Amino acid sequence: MAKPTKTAVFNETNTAPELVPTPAVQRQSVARGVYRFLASLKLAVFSLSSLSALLAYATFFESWYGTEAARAYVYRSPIFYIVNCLLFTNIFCAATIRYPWKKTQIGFVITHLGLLTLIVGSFISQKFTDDGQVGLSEGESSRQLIRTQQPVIRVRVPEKSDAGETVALQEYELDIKPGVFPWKPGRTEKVTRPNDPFQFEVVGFLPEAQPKFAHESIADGLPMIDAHLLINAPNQIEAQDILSDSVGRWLKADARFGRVAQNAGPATIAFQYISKDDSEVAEKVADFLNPPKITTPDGTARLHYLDKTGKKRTFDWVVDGKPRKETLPDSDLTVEFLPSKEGEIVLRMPTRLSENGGPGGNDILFNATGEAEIGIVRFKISKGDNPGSDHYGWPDLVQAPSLVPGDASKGATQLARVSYLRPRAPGSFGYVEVLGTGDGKLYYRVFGREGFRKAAELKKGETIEAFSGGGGMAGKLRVDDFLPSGSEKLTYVPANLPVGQKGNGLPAIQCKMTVAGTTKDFWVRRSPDLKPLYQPVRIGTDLYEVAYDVDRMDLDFEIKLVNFEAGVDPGTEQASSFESQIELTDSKEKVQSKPITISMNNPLIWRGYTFYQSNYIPATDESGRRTGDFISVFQVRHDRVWGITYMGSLIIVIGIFLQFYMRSGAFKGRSTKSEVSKTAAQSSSKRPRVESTL
Amino acid sequence: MSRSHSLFRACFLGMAGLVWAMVPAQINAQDFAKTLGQVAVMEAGRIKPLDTVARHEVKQIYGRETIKLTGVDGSVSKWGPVAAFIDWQMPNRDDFWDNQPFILTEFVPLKEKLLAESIREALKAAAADASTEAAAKSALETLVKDEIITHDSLKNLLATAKLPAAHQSVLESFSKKLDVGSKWMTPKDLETSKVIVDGRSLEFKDWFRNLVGKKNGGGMGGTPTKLTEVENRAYETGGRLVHYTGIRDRTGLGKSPIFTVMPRPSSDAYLKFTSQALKKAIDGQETAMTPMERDAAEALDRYFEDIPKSDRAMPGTKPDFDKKYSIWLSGKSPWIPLNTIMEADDAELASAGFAADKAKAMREAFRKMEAEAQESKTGEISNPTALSFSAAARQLGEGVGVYPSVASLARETHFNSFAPFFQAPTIYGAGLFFLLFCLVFTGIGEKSGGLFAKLGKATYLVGMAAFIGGIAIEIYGFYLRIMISGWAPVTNMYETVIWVALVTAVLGLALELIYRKIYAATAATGVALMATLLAANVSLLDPEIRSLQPVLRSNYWLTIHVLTIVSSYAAFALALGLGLLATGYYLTATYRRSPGFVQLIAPALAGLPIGLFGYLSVTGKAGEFVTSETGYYISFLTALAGMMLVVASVSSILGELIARALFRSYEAAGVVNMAVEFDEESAEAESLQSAQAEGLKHANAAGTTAVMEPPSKVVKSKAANLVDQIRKSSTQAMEPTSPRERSMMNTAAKIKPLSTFIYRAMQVGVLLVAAGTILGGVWADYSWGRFWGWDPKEVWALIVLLVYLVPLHGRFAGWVNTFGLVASSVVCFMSVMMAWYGVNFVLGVGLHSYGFVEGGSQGVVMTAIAAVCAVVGGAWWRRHLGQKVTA
Repeated sequence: MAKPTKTAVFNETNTAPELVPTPAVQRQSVARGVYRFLASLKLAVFSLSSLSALLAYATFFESWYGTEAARAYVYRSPIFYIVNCLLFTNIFCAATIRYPWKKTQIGFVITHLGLLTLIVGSFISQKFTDDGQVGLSEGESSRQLIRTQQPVIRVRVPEKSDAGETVALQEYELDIKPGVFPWKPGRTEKVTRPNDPFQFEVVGFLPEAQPKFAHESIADGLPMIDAHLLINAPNQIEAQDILSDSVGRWLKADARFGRVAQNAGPATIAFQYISKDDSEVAEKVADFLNPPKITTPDGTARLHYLDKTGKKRTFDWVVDGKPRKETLPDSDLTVEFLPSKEGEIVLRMPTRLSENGGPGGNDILFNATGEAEIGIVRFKISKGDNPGSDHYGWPDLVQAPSLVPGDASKGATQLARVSYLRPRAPGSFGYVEVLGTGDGKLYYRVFGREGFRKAAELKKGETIEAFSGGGGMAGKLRVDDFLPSGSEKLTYVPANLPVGQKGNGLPAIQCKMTVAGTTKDFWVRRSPDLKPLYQPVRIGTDLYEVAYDVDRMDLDFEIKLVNFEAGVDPGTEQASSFESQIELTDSKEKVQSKPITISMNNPLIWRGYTFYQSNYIPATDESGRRTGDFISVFQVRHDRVWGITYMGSLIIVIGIFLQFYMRSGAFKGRSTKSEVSKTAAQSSSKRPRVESTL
Repeated sequence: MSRSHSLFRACFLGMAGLVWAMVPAQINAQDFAKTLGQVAVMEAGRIKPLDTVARHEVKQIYGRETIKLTGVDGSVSKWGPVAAFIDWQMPNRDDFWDNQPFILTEFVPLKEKLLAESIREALKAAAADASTEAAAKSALETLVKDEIITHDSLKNLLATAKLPAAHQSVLESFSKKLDVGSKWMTPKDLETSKVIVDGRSLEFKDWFRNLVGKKNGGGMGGTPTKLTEVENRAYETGGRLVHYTGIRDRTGLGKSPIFTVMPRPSSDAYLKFTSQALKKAIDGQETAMTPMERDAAEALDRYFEDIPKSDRAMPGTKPDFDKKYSIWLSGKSPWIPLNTIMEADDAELASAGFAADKAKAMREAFRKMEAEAQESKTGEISNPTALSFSAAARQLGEGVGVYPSVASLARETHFNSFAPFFQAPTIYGAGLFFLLFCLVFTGIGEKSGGLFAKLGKATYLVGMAAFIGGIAIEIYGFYLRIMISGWAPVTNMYETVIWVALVTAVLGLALELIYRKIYAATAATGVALMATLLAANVSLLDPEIRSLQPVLRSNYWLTIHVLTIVSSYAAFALALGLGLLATGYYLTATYRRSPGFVQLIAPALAGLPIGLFGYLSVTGKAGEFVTSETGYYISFLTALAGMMLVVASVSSILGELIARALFRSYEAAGVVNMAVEFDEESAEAESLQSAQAEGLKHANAAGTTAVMEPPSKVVKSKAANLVDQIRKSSTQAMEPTSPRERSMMNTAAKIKPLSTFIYRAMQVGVLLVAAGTILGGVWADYSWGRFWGWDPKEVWALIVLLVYLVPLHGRFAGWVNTFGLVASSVVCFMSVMMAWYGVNFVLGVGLHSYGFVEGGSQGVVMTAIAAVCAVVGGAWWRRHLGQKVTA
């Protein structure tokens, strides 16, 4: 009522600007027009619609690319801020333009004031809130907050004494903001400063990575094949590749024997490599394709020798345990079979050095043969009247010398090469061997339960029916690739996570680290638990350690997980409750080991930090059985401005309540004051307004 | 006056109807089944009556809760769920059941695949038979070579070829099994069936095992493969067979027994028994362990999994451990299966801590049940025997642990058999039926009065009675459900749907009681019917009472926050119902001119080719248009758009037809002879108007014509309107001048209160959704430490609020007229659908996979929503054409 003209004008123009333009309207300055526009309902409708559309888009975006992506690209994007600012300005102007407010408008004003507070509060809290995680296993304590959204690279550089010994590791923390999408090829980011003792460059990033081995030919590598053994178990429709997992492991022969064997369920597959340097490649291949006949449980040895004319000859010696002496045909070589010292026919030799097999290639023999124990035959071979020397026949190991190297150094000479074939253990369904030679050729042979089955040359990519029949079991062999000298390198490829789990994968970076001119290219992935996982990187002679980790913030206090308990509904795996008993120690507040229980809907709030139970991971042993230990994960949040949000909400609720009970006075003013409309309303109330309703 | 009387009468009728409905429906008076149905069992973490488990299992296997079998002689026998469940596991009854077709196998291609080999063998046998004629032989041999032997081809053969009687009957039985009408197969058929898969002949159970592996990714960390339609159906049928054999052989499903009847003792005796069992297991005498011992050792093993190694101990050695273990045993351990108890002997049960005499009584009672079932040809057990078993089980159970009360079990069996939420659709349906008739009758009665007016009153009374009855039965159902589950009934999709039905109905009833217009009641009944109908029939909505996620186990917050949000959905649903009702009026309204059919059909002419193109590309019939996912979705949306245009056009044409018919009656009635009812109606409409929100009133007052017209037409129509007004006010006449105007006025009088209700419902919804969202924030802050986390569910609740604020503000701004409000009540509901259903099934499962038919049937839902929106579009189109000033 104080400024009737103004109110009337505003209302008139707001409803139907085209109607009866008063002189007052025409005299309004541009600023006033802008103000009116900013306060207008039309802008409200526009900003509400655009905010809804943007939010709806954000939720779809989130389902496609994950929570972090939605956060980075929508909720923290300029356009989102602009729309919110627009809404804020609109609400603000809409409230102020109606000043002075009438009693009936109180509800309206309060609601909109609440909205303003809420928008401001959200903005501030988005800017100034800290959040992170703490993961603890039982008995463990921590005074660190892990911020998974802020990755860092940690590099440990060895510090050397004057004598060149490594005395300590100096840790460098390198910040990186890789974003949420995989990097395009070619993008690189240098994360070290020029005067750091090493140069570190990030050349690739995958937000969700899974490991994959890459293989390439190198100068001094190992022979390796990409073999696939496709087995159909009885009554199983789809064949399963029992050799290659998703990581794509290859069969790598070791350097010593050039051989590797792998027990893969019902069958064993072995890969043997004979290098070009071997003088007897052709004989060994022929031997492979044409193995000696096995007639006794102890197999057959094949003696390769030169006859009197200097021609290469073979002689198959059936090992039956009978001590006998024979002269090899057309030669002056006398062969005597020697049983073991214990009187057994073959020498028994365990292949594993330790019970479980130690790391670092201690079990070369086991890896090469795939058997826990091998039997070795011994012959005494003499030429003419010479005393002769012991020759050994090693099963499967064609690279193994027949003459003990020690004897050779004492002057003994190799008179014949002994290869030896034993029948396979009866439990094994099939034994498939692949032979590769230095010139890139491949051969295969198959032993079934009944013995030797077939052998032939093998082409890359060709599928061989290795075995069939026998209770519906069928096995096929295929070798896709063969590197006579290759290397295997761990790389990462994008993990295709199902929708809904997007954003839960582990990120990995590809990096280049340069020290004193030597550059190494490698991948690092974040560890699945929340602890930094250091990866050794050898550059020159020094061993560096690199971890792809997350930012850790020190807390002023310490929490210790004393016990975690998870309840499930009887007889099911459905969790019914979980709670962590922790102890809080804060020297500043003079609190020592204060017992506190954190459970669902019951967080710990301490000095502005809220610890709530977000997750737990049951620990399992190797066999997948639960050990009863748990890792309890808390989400931690530090929100200094929560009060504003709450206040805003409270004001809105009060406002809406008032509006409801006071019949929304916001738009009442103009109708009661507009005389024209009043009369029109009266006249029209006599009869239903057909036109307007229809 | 008469209206309030009639409402009282309606209430009374509704209550009476409810009492009548509460008399339990008797299926095949199998008293023993009723008795056994109240035996307590533990399943899926909850103690419940056997009735619940039996219903669930039978429904899983048979597809319905009551099994109907037709004998050879054509006699029909019915088996209630408990009777069937019990009979399946009785000794020697498998002879009967294995040969009964009751394993749901509906999908014809699957049946063809399952029976193909047996049929081929039968065909070959018939062909090999010397007595078969040569012509028949060749026919048989050709059929054998068919890749798929269909019902038709077999039937054809049987009709044309002359076969020896024995072969004829064998093949006829196969033909019968292949028929679309036979939806079930016998366990024996399935167990002996051989299928050819990828050229290999497999037994059905092996095929099923393969499918399980395929679906779960082979169990070796592989990726799950999508099954084909036939494979999917085979997977389902295999699951049914496994359930049946698990019950029949009393082995349960893998590690989970189905029939667990006894709480686990927690006494010292049981601890001692457990430690002895454990010793046996450690000593490697596992084969020498009795089932009871194995069960005890397994329970301990299960407990060990949850506690660290250092806390584990042999029972009886550490008092501290014993104490904790006893607590776990009595409260959190799974129950003991009946079979384990039956396989133990009395002495062993006594040593495990059971009262010897009670255990003996129970075992004897069960043995007697077995004997009776075996003796009687129908598997019938006498009620006294059943009673003695149930009593003995109770006595034994109460002696060892927590055993549920008779009342709580009876409550749940009553809830199961009475099935209030399954009855609700019928009652609401009746309500809607009568209320719609009431609308029609009063509509006619307005003009002709007399009989139709009376009929209108009568149908109103009956409709309201049913409506109130529906509310009452839902309230009763919720009362039972809350008593059973122990928490507020809004913890899953099913519960929210039935809750929305109730809240909508209550809101509708409130509006009805305040304003006494039939519209609110009709719309609310419609919405409630729709919701309860969906809840009862959509398999996605699981009515089982299950245990809750830990975060929801806060009754206080759950009740406040979720109830508020879901109730806001109800308010919006009511607005939707009212909006659709109003849309109906708009569709059939008389406008200034009657639009021509050619104009009305135009959208369909455009829509047909578009829709056809989209449809063909989605189904792949149009060649290789669709190779990418994006292409697929675009085609789908194209098809949808085309369909919407056609639906809009068709609905507008139907509306026009009805409108013309109605208008003719106005013309026939002439100017005079206004029905008394109508005066009352319009008077009420006026009083209503004054009660309306001020904003609304104003919006409808001067200047609104300008509002609804595009600015270019404003001046012209404004002027016309002014002239019109002046003319009208000068005459002061109440009666309209022409039939057209009267007809227009009549519809307007109907739409006016409707729009008020819509507005009110939207306001209530906005209030609730705002409050619910804020409360959700407070809960989230309290339990998760953050008020707002941009979680999709949170965001969509906010979007719902914003979306509904748009028409509410738009109405003030003059951008949204009455029709706009009506349309927005329908269109804005899409945001509710998204928040309610879409967040779980569109965002969760993903638009990503070709998942339109899987899981949440996203395609079906989208099509349904689009169709509803299209009807509104049709109303708009007709109105747009009708309002064009021609001269």
